[in-house]
Amino acid sequence: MAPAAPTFAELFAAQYQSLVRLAGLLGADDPEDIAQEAFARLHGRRLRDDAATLGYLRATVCNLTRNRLRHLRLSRLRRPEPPEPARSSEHAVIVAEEHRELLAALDTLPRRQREALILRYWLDLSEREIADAMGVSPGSVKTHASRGLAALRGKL
Amino acid sequence: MNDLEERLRAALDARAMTFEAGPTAWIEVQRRVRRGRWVWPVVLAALPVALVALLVPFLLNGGQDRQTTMGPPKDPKPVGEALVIDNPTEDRPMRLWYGKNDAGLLALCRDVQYAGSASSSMCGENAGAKAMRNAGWFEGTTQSVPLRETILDYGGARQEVATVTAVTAKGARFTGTLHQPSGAPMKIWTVAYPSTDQVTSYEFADAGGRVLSQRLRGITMLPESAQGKPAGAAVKLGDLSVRPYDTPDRNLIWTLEGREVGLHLVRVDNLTLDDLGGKPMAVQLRVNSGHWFGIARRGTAKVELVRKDGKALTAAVKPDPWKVGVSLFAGERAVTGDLYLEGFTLVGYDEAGRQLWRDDHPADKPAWDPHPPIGEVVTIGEAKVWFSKVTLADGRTWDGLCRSTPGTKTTCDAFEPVGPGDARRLLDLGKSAIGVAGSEATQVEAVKSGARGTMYAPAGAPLKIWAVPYPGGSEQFVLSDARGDTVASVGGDAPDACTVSPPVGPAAALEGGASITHQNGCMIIWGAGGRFAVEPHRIEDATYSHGQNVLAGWTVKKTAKVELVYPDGARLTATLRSDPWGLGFTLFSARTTKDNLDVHVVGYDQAGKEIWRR
Repeated sequence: MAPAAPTFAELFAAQYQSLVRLAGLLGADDPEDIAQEAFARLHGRRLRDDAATLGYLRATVCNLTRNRLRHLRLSRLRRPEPPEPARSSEHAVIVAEEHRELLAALDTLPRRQREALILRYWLDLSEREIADAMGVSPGSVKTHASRGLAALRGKL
Repeated sequence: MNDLEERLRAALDARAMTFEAGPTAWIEVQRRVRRGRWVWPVVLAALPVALVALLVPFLLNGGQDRQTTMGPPKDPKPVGEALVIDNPTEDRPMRLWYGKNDAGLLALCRDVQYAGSASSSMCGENAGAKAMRNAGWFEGTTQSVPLRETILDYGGARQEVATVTAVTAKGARFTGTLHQPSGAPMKIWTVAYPSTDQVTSYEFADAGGRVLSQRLRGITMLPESAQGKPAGAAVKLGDLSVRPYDTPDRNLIWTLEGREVGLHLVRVDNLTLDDLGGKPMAVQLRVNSGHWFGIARRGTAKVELVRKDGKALTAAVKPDPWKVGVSLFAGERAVTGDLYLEGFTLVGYDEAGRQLWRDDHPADKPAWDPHPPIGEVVTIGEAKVWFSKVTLADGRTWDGLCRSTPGTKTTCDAFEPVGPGDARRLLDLGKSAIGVAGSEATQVEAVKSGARGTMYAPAGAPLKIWAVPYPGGSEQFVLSDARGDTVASVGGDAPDACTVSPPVGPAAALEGGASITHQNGCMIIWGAGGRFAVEPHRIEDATYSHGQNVLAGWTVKKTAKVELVYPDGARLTATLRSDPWGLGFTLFSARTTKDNLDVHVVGYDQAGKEIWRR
């Protein structure tokens, strides 16, 4: 018998923090808003299994973040820069000099390359899972990731 | 992995840690779900009412998989044995296990059963990658809305991890338990703690006490009432209090000694109890901490809970104090045993005594069996008895004899290997002495009373089972073969739960290398080098024992601090942890350098007042 799905509350407890962080890494200005909306959209859906449920959540976070960034880019044409996303007080200490240069280089990469690298090196997803989350083919995941790494190497 | 990839991983990890989940996240998600969709009440209506009682019940597939399965889980493919533990939140067994998915990635999975026949399974993500980054990690929790008394958090850990400690927002620390299921690639940790404590992080340390990693728990689920405004006066029903809140949906929130124990959504926009998903619902029952209570259709003046044995319990009823269209009810007496395992019926009557509604709950059929039978299950009196494999507290797997009687938890007693001409006596089963025997024995008799017993030879079982009527006292039981020749003789006084069988299930690890096991009401304190004390479970304030460099024990009272006070005035504060078996005890231990013979062990409450002394 295939395992029954977890309750929504359990999924939330297990995955919410990780999805907030994913949205933050992808550049969302309000990562919690993105993660909450992903869970709200998941609710009431019946997905085939656990993996499909997580895949759906990740893909939703990627899509919502992408849309949000697009919206912000358009808004910036008319308004000043939005405030920095809220981060913990340890932020300055944790993301110290050690990582600053590399993260700055990552932030300059094209959106798809950045997504592929984050999904691979932070979430450790397989190419198939990354492809599902990004809505691209596994072949292009390989391309985006290798180009992203090469670009990072060139910038450092 | 090259240097750039490793640096990228570390940089992403560091940046990710800067994004924290806020304490109101769960409430915000609920609001979005309720405001934006009409789907969820339909899902809710399809659920077993019992499940509704335990969780704000956002089930993805309604718990429709209700067939009982035996043995290890099948998908994803298990790696090593499953750890079966008591889930103190649900008072049901729970499985934790490592599995590999189709892509070959390792995941830590868990299966939980709920009262009301529903169950759920869930696997985390890439456990291998998590272990590469951290010595231990938080994987999930049994936390529910509203909260039960005890929460169980769990996760994975690398082999070098020797202790796991949960740290609360106020700095209290709970030592967890590390498990190494046979064949599993990594350890599994669990920690149970009172739901009144808010655990915020975990520490993983090696055998030398060096902290290997610290992980945030990362999720906070505040009580529902903390996010809403009271929308009416509180009403008391016995020990329980119930009050309406706007969160902004209208909820009725039940509390017991200040703790939320039940929640009913009575209005979402124009939705009311009578049209949940278009299906009229007569009653919503909640069972929490032995109390049974809930809401019933308008006009209900009397509620009865009829148990399987036909005995009816009555409830105090308050008809619609806030004009929301429902009557409130709360059982006048607490229930013992597991209503949902037994099966029961709720019946509602109007003022004139006419039956208004009837709600039948057939006995739960567990989604899987934590003690899969080896061979046929036999019935002795009202008990079911069968052979199974059981995991001892030290991780070894032995043969065991399991028993279940209506309304009680299944227990399994392990026993040493039994040859064809051997026999063992186990814990008495009601008014019968019971044990196991090898193939040569065909009959059994009590010498003193002359009572003849019964030999059971369950098909497919590894051994026989013998049972003889036994009124107590010293007695000898002779097992003989078909010719009447004695095969084995066992006996003496009634066996003690603390000595008849080695402890099964996980031991609670304590500071100083001590641990405590619990089986059949027997708690045993173990020292670093072996068992140094055996104490039958007695209802006392506190019990302790001490070895060369450690003092350990437990208390049945809610204790915030335990101190060791020596004759010379020296004081030592013990480390506390809640028991992992859901008994509500506090376990304590301390590394000591002094002679503990004349020590006083003193317990204090939250306010620092002494509440017991031993």
